[in-house]
Amino acid sequence: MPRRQTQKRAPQDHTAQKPAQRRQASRAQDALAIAEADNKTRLGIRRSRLGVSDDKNVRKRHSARENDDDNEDDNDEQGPIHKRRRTGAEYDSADGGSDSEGHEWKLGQVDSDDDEELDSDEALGSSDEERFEGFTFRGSSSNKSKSKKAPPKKRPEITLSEDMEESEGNNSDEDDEDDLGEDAVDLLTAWDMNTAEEESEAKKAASKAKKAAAGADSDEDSGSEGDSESDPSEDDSDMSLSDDDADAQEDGLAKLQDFVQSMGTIKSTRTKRTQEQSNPTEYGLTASQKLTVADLLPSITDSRLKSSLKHVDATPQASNSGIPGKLDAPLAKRQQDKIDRAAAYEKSKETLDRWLDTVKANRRAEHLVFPLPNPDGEQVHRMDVAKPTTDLESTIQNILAESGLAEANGKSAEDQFQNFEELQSRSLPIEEIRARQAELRKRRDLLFREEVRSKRIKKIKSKAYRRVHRKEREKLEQQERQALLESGVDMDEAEREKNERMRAEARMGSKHRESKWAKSLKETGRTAWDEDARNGAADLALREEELRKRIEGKSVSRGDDAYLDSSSSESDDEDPWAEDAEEIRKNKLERKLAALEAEAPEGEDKGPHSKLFAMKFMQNAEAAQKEANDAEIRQLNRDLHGEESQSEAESEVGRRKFGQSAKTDTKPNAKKALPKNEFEEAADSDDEQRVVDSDQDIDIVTDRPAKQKPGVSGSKATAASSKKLSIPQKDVPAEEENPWLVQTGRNNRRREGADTQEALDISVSAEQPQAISSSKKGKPAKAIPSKRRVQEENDSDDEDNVPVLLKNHDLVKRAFAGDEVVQDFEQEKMDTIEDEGDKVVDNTLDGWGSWTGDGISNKQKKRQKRFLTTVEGVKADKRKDAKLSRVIINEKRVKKNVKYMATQLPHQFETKSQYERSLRMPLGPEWSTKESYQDGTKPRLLIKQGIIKPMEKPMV
Amino acid sequence: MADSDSRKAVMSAEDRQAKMRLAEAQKTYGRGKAPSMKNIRDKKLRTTLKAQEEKHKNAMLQAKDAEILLEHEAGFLEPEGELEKTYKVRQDEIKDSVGMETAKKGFELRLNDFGPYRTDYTRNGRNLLLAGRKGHVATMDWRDGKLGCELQLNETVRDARWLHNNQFFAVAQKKYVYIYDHNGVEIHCLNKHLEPLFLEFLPYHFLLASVGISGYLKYTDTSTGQTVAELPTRLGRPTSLTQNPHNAILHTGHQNGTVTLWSPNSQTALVKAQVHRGPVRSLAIDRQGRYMVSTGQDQRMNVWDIRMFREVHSYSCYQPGASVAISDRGLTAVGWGTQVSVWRGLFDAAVADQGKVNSPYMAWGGEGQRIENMRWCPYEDVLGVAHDQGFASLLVPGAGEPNFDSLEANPYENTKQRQEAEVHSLLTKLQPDMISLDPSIIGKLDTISDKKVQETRNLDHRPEDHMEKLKNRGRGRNSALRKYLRKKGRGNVIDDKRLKAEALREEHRSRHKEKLRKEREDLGPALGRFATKKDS
Repeated sequence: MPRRQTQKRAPQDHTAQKPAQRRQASRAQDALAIAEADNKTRLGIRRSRLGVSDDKNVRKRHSARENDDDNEDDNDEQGPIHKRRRTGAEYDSADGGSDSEGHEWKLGQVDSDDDEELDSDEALGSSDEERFEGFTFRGSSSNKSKSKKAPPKKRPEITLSEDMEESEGNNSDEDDEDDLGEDAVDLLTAWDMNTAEEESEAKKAASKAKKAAAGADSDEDSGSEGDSESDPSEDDSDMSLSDDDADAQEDGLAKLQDFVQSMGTIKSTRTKRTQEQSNPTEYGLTASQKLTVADLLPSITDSRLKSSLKHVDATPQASNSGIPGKLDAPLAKRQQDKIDRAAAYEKSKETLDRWLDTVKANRRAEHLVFPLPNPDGEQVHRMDVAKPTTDLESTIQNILAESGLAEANGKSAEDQFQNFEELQSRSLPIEEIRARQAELRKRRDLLFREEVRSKRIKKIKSKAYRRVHRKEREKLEQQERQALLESGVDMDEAEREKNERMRAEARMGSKHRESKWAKSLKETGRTAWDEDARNGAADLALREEELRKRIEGKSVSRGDDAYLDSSSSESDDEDPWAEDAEEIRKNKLERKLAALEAEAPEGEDKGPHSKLFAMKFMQNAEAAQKEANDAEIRQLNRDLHGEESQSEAESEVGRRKFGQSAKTDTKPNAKKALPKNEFEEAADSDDEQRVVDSDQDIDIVTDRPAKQKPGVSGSKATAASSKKLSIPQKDVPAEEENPWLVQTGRNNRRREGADTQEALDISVSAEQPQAISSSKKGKPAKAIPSKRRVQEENDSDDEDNVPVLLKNHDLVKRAFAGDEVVQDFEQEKMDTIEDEGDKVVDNTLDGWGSWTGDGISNKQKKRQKRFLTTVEGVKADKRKDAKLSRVIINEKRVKKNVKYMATQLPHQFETKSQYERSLRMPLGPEWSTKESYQDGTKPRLLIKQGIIKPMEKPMV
Repeated sequence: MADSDSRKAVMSAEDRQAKMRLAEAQKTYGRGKAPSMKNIRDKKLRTTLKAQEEKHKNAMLQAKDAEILLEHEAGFLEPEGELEKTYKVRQDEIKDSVGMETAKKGFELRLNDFGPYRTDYTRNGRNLLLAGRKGHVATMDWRDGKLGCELQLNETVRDARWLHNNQFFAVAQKKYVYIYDHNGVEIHCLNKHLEPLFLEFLPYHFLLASVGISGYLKYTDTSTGQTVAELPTRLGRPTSLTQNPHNAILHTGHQNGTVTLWSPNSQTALVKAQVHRGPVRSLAIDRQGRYMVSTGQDQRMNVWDIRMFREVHSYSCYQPGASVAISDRGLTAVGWGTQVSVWRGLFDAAVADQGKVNSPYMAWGGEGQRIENMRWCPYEDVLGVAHDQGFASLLVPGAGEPNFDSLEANPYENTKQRQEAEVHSLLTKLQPDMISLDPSIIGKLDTISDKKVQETRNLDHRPEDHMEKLKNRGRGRNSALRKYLRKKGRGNVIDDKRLKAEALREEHRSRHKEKLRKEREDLGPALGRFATKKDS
């Protein structure tokens, strides 16, 4: 039906259409509804009064002159037909139709389709437009323009012919209106007051409903628009829907107001034009104004009735359109599709989201095998007791049950236990049960307390507390480890490594140096007056000193106790190698010494009080103290070392080697000592060196006689022990005339660490207990290789040859004396360094910017500007062989190798090390087991032959 | 408290075992530490790296577990008491105490006539090659005592080497290097290798290298026959040559006591080290490429760590060592004068920083045979000593690798296996360009600075214009342009090049048309039809 309406409606004249739109706007605003009602009554009058004539003024307002002309023609020509038809079917009677009559068939017409047009025509007449000329509806400009544009777009004049009757009818209507518009000018003034009121009210209501919203206006407009368009013509937008919703909100109240006001206005107007208007209905509405169920709804008070009419109320749109109970026009296909699509999208998204986890899991999977394993296939078997089904099974079950191997009647052991317990508890006396419960409660309570306690402890911030407890813990651990060691289980390699790392970190770290506390001490100068702080600072300095020494490679007896806790427990508690009472005493002495030494730098304080310290008396005092300190240090040193050297002198057999000493640069010494440590023949042959040695240290010379039997053990032991000592030695000029002799010095230096170990090794064989004791850091002694002992004896064998060898070496030396191989090599190296280093290129062109040629004085030549460029090479100290005196390493880039290298970091990797790590492990079967080879080369996707069905449902 | 401790102890005992196992595996099969993953923000990368580490770990553990498959163990002579010396044990004593089959491996060949011999074993230790100075060359399956071939070359023979298997061997003769097959048939004469002194074969690269009297080091690819590199050492007549099995770098000893390191990719020596004061007599490098042992005329035996290029130890000899060889398990044989002494644990000592080994493990000789050359037989406890009066095979317990890897070298291979191995090794042949001091550079990131790259790049080089080439090459039906358009111009890809080519073609065509028109005009209306359509 609505479809037909559109078609009928469409060709309609612009004048007719516009009012219709207006009417909708007024619907939204209640006030207009009333105006409309009035207007209609008036229209009726006009229609009856005025014939078919045109009003130019109105025409002009609508910009479709041609149409109008046509219409005029139509009217002229078809006037009679028109009239005739009207008399037959339509509501419009001839000029002199009585009011009452007209009213009546108008009422009858309300239900008919055609009536609706009428209705819309009446909605806002052209006169109304005149009336509202000055007033713009909110957003009306757009509305107007739209409405104006719409008709030409919709229907060209051609279509007029199709729906002739309609257009005629409209035209006639329009004519009526127009006529009346002319006439009614005077009446308008009478109305004005009313309408103005109504308008303002309507506006208020509307604005209340859709305040603030930016789209409010447009909504309203489009709503009105939509209504006007949607009802008669189907092409509508969803906008109208939204508008309906908005309307619905205010519907109830608005309608009531509407109703009431219309009553009032009608009353007032009715008095004037009763004779012109049709008779008012029961509710004060004219016949032309349709009465809908919705209109009546607000007046219903009976709740039952209301509920039964709910469905009517629920479709306000239907009531709006004036046809109660009618369904909405279906949306345009495009709109509908759009909505459908949106809904479908939501739905599909929801379903697809269910797959998300599966997809993710598959994406992250290292390997995928298609067809995918069926999730249903791998059902978990219920771990239920198997019920015997056959005879055989049941007999077996019985046998098992009898023999106690299976639970009777399929009950699980747990159940049985429970049952048993229940039974037991039943049989138990109540006191016992109570006791048990009490016990349980107690346990629970204890647990709870434990929990609380642990929480409390966790919150404790005291460092001291932590320290104490940690130490305790470590002690326990240590004991455990010791026990393990004793039982033959070696300490964990990794753990040891970790410990070492920790220690190293602590050593390297600046914990001792730049802590907050230390800084604050410095800043506030608290050390000047606070005893504690001073002690602390001293301690700090001491540690620092120790650390420095340690870094330098000297062993510090006091060591790590203070903060390297991991090692401290070891060294303090049960150091297996520090059992000697003498040793302990020595340690103490050394510690004291270290403390004294450390105190010395402490005196030179830099801080706010440095001025104070700079004062004369302070300095004096300090000097005195220092002197005392020094004396003590000396004293301590003396009895420490004197004693030790004594003991050594007694014990020592063979040569003596001096390792690191406290104050001297030990390198040269090491170098000196090295050949002795070497293969005997070689060492003995170095005559010059021995001379040097003897020059240097008398002790060593006195030891020489013992060299008769230069056992390896002897030399090593001494080396180890001497390491501990800090015998002040003269610094011997390190520069050797013969680089040949220097060569192995390096090795020796590197070997120091191991020397202690060797000393240990030997000591286990109980040859020289003193030597052992001195070393503290030594690792647990392993089984001594018997080889070593063998060697010792070998030495004596070898010794017989010494004189011959000596001679030989002399000869060799003499033989190669003329060869300046080493010098040549050095020269070559220098040349290479120069060659591969930075080069300065002179780009100066003679005569460029200056004169050149004959007759140029030297002065002028010098004055010429030089253009020098430096080509960067490898710096001498950056060379790979910078520290290798006997090696020249080529620094040139091997271009042919470059093509096998990656020019840039491949994607995904962030650092070079990551990338290179990924290449580190070879995949090939030559380098790995078959399993790891297959694992490493397994393709990510494995597709088995056959049909691969898509996944039926998400797997994860 | 105590209870929990004990539990912890139990738990940690298990953990400890697992850890220990891992640590052991790490020690032998581990390949460095994993980089820290804490700083990686990219989740994906982190997961991949973690997975990779896990894989590495598994591979390591599996490799460790696979050790169970190694059935043989290596052992050394161990003295019973302090007074017993292993180096006093004589060969006949050993032969008496070992099994018959093993005892057979020790033998002597008396070859008095053709004077000092040089020797070589194949890679699987199956065959022996003997080459006498005076032209006598013989191959044999030494275990069976079967002679392969015997040649008298009537020429000075300075060195001889097996190639990749027992089918070919190269002999450095007076003037050139020759290659013979297992039957003794001469199949190649490498006349680029002039007056060769020493030969060396790089099995993974199929490179035969020789160093001549003139001091030129020459590489020939034996699979293709091409000369790969000729490098002048510029240090006169070299005195020794050996290869580093780890990275295929050749070490050459020289008269002035230097040792130079060479790869075919660099015209200058990679490293030059002053190892001795006098001429270097002999060089040897251990299988892992960590240590080099050299003997010199200055009566020294020096042990160098060739990763750091530092001398580790220096021993003095009674006489200059004429030959050095290092076995798979690190026994070092030094031949000096008429004697051979085998040292054990030279490198272990260096590793542990323990000081020197003071006495040899075994000794042999002193019977008036001047030692010329020595080789360890792979996968056997056998040392082959070539001297001026023949060849001696000595039993040295604990010298060889007890477990062979048949993918690498199979001592018991049959013909088929040998052939397959040959093909396989040819397929996996390494290119000579890959040789470098650090063999792990392949695939590594090149960290050269961008500035250096820019410097090396020729900035003035103008990119080659393909169109220019097309324009001027050829005419007619098969001109370069036509060919280009025919082959490449048909695709759907329209790029700059294609447009240019088409424009060019259009131009050609219009030019041709114009030419034709002119010709027609010249010929006049009557003769115009005879204008040639071909553009010439």
